[in-house]
Amino acid sequence: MHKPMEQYKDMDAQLIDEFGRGNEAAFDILFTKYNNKLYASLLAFTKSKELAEDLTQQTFIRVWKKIETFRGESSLFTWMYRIAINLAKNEFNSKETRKQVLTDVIEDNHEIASSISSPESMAIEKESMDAVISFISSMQSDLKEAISLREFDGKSYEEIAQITSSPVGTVRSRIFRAREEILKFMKEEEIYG
Amino acid sequence: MDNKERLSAFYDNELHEDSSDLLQLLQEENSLSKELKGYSLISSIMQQTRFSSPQHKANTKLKINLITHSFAAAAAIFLTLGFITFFNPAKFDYDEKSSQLLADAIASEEGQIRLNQDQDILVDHLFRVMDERNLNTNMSPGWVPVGFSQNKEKPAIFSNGPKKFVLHVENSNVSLTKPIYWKKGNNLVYLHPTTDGKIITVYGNIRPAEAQKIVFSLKR
Repeated sequence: MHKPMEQYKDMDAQLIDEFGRGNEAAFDILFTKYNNKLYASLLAFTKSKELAEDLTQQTFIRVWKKIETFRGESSLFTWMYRIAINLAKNEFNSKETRKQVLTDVIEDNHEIASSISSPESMAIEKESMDAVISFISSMQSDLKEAISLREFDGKSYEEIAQITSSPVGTVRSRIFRAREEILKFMKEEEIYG
Repeated sequence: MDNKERLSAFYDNELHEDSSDLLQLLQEENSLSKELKGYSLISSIMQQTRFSSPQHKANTKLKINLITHSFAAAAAIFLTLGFITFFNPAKFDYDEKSSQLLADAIASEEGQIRLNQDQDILVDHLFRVMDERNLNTNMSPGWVPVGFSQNKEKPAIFSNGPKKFVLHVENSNVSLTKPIYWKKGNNLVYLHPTTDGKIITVYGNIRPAEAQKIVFSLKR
């Protein structure tokens, strides 16, 4: 049984609190959770891997500096995404100054930037990514369907439950099992781990 | 539900319970932290593969009149950003109002859909139009719609006092076969294809019928 919302802080809010108290590991967890989602969003906007990577890093630098201003009125991802979109829009409006701005920002924030890595998949070869996708294609259909609806289509568990006529708990379990199987494959193939 | 399954739900923002213990474990146990990074990596691989797939590239030959949700989503974001860019003297900045407007657009169902569809060309088009340096009204030099006056500094903007609109004409690879518009509140973005392969884009706080009238007057 879920507790009423008032009785607990969600994990993102707890991580923000911890980061505010000086626990930088809390920021690492938020970064791990959101960096690839932001990168994918920025890639969709910019169509440039390099630019999306630059903007992802800039976004996290801003988030690092401004997180105490996050008031929880939207989800953390929406707030981060707003920052990312603003940076992307500035990019559209001032392409000719982009490189200099990026250089300045990153140099000014060298200490922060050095702790923020690029999306990890950048380091993975295309062949390995193809192998992972091929493995996903071969997975049990209910697991493949659940993880695809989540990762490709961004559906919520509730939406996936409706689409697949399954309980939300089953959806959660299927997505988890799909991730476990994919990670197991990636470890066996020495792609990750 | 074991801790790894809870972690998977947390990663998806679907863990609706007290998670203090999980947070503690996540910071203490390297294996859980590594698991979370693995989930992130899976997301990245799936999303990047999607963006680079031949299917994705093929889908960018836009069938705009068939996929209205995505157009609506792109237009929602465009209207929010575009209006701030053009009609807010302070331009787009982190002021509370514009932030909230943008948050609304992004958080909307349409905004979420936009992230997951293949409407890249349309989004490109809208963002290009949003950059005022790209605006072109040269299809009919000297033309001004009846009742409106042209902004001297920004000739793409026309106003009659309470109503304002931006006009842009370009050769476009947005494969529209018929006019299409999207409305958010009093704001409208209207795309009109011409027989010679151009797209006329009108957006502002005008009604669809007014936009259509403006386009017909321009074409004459």
